[in-house]
Amino acid sequence: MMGPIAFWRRNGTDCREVRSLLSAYMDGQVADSERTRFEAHLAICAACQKELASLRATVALLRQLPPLRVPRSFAIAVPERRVASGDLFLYLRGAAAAVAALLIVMVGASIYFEMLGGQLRIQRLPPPTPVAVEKQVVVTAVVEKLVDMEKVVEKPVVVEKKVVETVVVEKPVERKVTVVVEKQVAVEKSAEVGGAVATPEGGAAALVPEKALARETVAAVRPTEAPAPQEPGVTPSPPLAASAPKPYASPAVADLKLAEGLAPEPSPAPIPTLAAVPAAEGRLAVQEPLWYAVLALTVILIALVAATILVWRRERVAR
Amino acid sequence: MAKKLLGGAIVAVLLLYRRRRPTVWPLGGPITGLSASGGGPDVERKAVDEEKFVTLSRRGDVAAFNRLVVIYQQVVYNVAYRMLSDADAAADATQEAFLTAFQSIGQFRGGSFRAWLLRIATNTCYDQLRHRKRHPATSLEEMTRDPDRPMDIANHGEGPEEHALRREMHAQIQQGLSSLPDEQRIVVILSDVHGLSYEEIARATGSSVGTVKSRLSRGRAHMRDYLLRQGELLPARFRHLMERR
Repeated sequence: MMGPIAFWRRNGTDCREVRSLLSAYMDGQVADSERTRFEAHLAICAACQKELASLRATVALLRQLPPLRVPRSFAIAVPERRVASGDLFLYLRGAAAAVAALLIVMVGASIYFEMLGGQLRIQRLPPPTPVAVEKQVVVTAVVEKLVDMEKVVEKPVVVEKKVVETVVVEKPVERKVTVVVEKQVAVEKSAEVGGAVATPEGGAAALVPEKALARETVAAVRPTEAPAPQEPGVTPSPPLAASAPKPYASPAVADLKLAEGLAPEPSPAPIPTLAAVPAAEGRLAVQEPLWYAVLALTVILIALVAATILVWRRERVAR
Repeated sequence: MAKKLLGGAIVAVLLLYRRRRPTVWPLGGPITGLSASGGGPDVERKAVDEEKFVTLSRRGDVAAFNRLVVIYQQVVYNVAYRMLSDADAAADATQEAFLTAFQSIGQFRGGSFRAWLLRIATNTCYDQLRHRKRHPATSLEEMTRDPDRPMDIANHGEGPEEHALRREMHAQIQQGLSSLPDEQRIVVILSDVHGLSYEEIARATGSSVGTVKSRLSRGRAHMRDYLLRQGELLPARFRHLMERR
């Protein structure tokens, strides 16, 4: 007579299925639905019970394997080159900080000059003067200077055509700013092209007529109106000539220089207006170099910060 | 307008740069305020410490990573030794695994750090085994009989004879492990020697839980058969169980 155990034993598929689950069953990893069937079979199948017991014994043997002592520490050594890299990193960081500080100063200076400088200039502007007087002064000064030049230098610059225009521009924001635009065309003698540069003034006059004229114009004012005449042509760059005609020079400086040169001048009206010419045009231009410097510094700062980050990352990877 | 923008950009750059400092500053410096995990039973505190060390290690802090090394070198070395059956090779694999782990800690995406670390260790061991297959210098047999076998940590005041017997039995189990195919061996080691969960083993071996289950089942059966064949040194209870089978 075949009992239930014999029946299950013969039924090999069930035993095989159960044995494949024994390992998971030991770890409590058999799903509930399977477990009831599994346990029902296990209860009646002695072979599967033995199988389970032997597996349990095996696992017990494995579990009692003792942990082994670590032969040494496996801590990671700090790489040597980290030090050099760290130095470079610190250096770059310091440089970036310095550039940043400089940048702040420059930006501050730019903003300060732009805001405060404008006010100062407005304050220093002289009261509006009659246009006629101004025109006269300019023209005479130019003529006299040209004569002077020819006399002293003795390398005559032939003035072929001379046009002096005076344009009066009224600006509504500031009380009255006059802008004088002068044009002149100077042509050298053809024979003396090579040796024309007798003095820096002469050379400049030949090459850049407009600029030179502006320079001479101011320079000529002095012998005409100042009481103590100096040799104007021989000393090619008096302080006035250096400072006043430059388009970006601040009018405050020009004012000061003019005041020095023309101390006893009773009616200083026309001269400050002359000086005001570049001021009106170059008001923003005065700040331009500062902003260029700020821009350059920003680029340098970005480059430095980028380099710093690169070094830092490389260092991280190296370790 | 452009100048205002420029000024704003500069300020932003400076602020960013300033913010970087605290993260950059502790380069390689010793960590203060973090107690060494001295094996206390406070598991929660340990987990918090581990998280801190992992975060610091991600930023390249070697000192913090070395704290993790101290915590895990035991398990990594043991897994490597059980896999390779050779003390020197296990030490090399352990060191290499930690170096690799430090270099690629940026790829750690949370979860069990132990499983992530053991995955690296497992791969390192596979590399060693492949290398060994290509350059067979010594047989596994010789290696397991290595006289400079690492010392057990557990030492219950037993006599020299008992001690020798126990060592012999452990060597036999180790040889049984060596006889397993690599994929089964790592699963048996992680599960039955180190007690990892199926999920952790799946992560550590880069396989599914189902694969872990079947490999473990076959590995255990294989192990049991091996021990049965060479069972004269096994404890009497075990032999008895085996004989009745």
